[in-house]
Amino acid sequence: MKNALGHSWSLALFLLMLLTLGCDGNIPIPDGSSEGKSEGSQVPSGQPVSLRANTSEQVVGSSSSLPQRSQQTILIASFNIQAFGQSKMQDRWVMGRLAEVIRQFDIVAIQEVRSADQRLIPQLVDFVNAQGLQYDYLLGPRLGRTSSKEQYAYLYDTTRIVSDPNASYTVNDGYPGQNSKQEIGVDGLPDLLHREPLVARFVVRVMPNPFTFTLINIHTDPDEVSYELNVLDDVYKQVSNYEFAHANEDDVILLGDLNAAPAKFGELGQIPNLRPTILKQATNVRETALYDNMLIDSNRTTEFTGRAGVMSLKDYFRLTLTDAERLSDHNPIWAEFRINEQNGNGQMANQFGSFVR
Amino acid sequence: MNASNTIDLQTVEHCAKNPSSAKDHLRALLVSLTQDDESIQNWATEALENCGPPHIQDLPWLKKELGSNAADVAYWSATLIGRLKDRGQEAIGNLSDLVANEKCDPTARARAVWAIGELGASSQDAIDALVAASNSTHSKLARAAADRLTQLK
Repeated sequence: MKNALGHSWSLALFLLMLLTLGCDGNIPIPDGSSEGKSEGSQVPSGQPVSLRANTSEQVVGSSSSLPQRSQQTILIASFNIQAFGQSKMQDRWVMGRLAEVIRQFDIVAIQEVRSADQRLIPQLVDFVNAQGLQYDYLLGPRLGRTSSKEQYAYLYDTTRIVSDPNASYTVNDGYPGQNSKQEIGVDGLPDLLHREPLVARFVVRVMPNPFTFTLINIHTDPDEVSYELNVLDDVYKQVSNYEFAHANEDDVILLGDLNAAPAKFGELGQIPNLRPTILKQATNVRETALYDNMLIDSNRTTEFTGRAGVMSLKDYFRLTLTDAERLSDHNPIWAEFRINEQNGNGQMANQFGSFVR
Repeated sequence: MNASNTIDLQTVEHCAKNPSSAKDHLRALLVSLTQDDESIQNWATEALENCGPPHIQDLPWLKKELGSNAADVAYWSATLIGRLKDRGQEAIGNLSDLVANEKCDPTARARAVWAIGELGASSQDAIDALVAASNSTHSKLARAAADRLTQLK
């Protein structure tokens, strides 16, 4: 990657990765008979998005409407649950609605888990599963440069998705990411990102030929957005290379709160074929700015159905702006994918049983 | 910083959800960073992340807070000053002092380096501080300082 000053950072530094905890429980070998969820009121499907178009000239291509759920597709979402901590945890009204948001998707990448209390995400999962569902989670380490840390998480429906507990990791850019502020010094790696991405590999629970994919969950620092976006292109390339080399995985999706619209993606926006699914639609609850996105390689991830959008918390729950902002200042974003690999890349499918506990 | 500048959870949460109002409570938000209550600390951080540049009249006391013993207070003071861009140039000396002070938290010092770059300042004091910081054993600080020196040249 080249930063704004023309320096090149070693791509190799991203190969060092820290294993994080895999938290999925005992999951049976998939038999392809799992049922999609049907709870919740669904509205007609969203509008298609062309990933091959020039984004700078693209008309609005995302929708507030969630698509009709289908057993032939999954929904992947990203949701910045603003400052998710004790005050939200103790508000049952908030937790009930956050849980309902999660239930609309098969996987949700979450940003801004702020609390030091590590029971927070398990408690959210309990809320989600209160209606008899079987969601589980992956939770990353606490990250950040000040005393107030953040964690990334993935929540996913185990009846439809399997995670590989040995294939989730935090990209290591040379800083502990814990409470320690000690200099690493040993390897001399610079600290490039405030909150290093949490990477995780998933498989759709269907046989044969399940869609396998890797997610990169990121929340950029608002004051250093352009700098961090110029690092994230290297993160994406390195993770893609790593995933392909170690798991023959070619579907790598970067998603999260980028704090930038596609026109400001810098070097991240220059990766060939890597396209944003949210093009112009605002993603904050006030509908004034586009912060969140999901980036997909349009040549490789042909499992993307072309449907993506923003779930308006205000509209979905019929809330006032004030009440919607009790949930978050961000709306969830989502994209739809087919459950089977479209390119005949079956190696992950063949390995499927090897990491199912 | 005056300890009487405290803020309750409801107010700090309101500031986080209404970034424009956060600007009117900056001093109290910085005090909140030093409190033990995690919820207040987290919402204060959220408010500071999203509130944008401070009122220019806050610059004098923000300059003083660069010397705070609390690393988070110094860090966020530098951040807020940096957001002022060229309107904050009178703080260049204070930022340079923070960068040069090896007793201060390296994360706050690195943020001060960032702020100097945002201010676009190239005074000799700033350059001297950046040169010294570029030789720091703290790689983040050294890299940030080297980058800013290149930018200023």
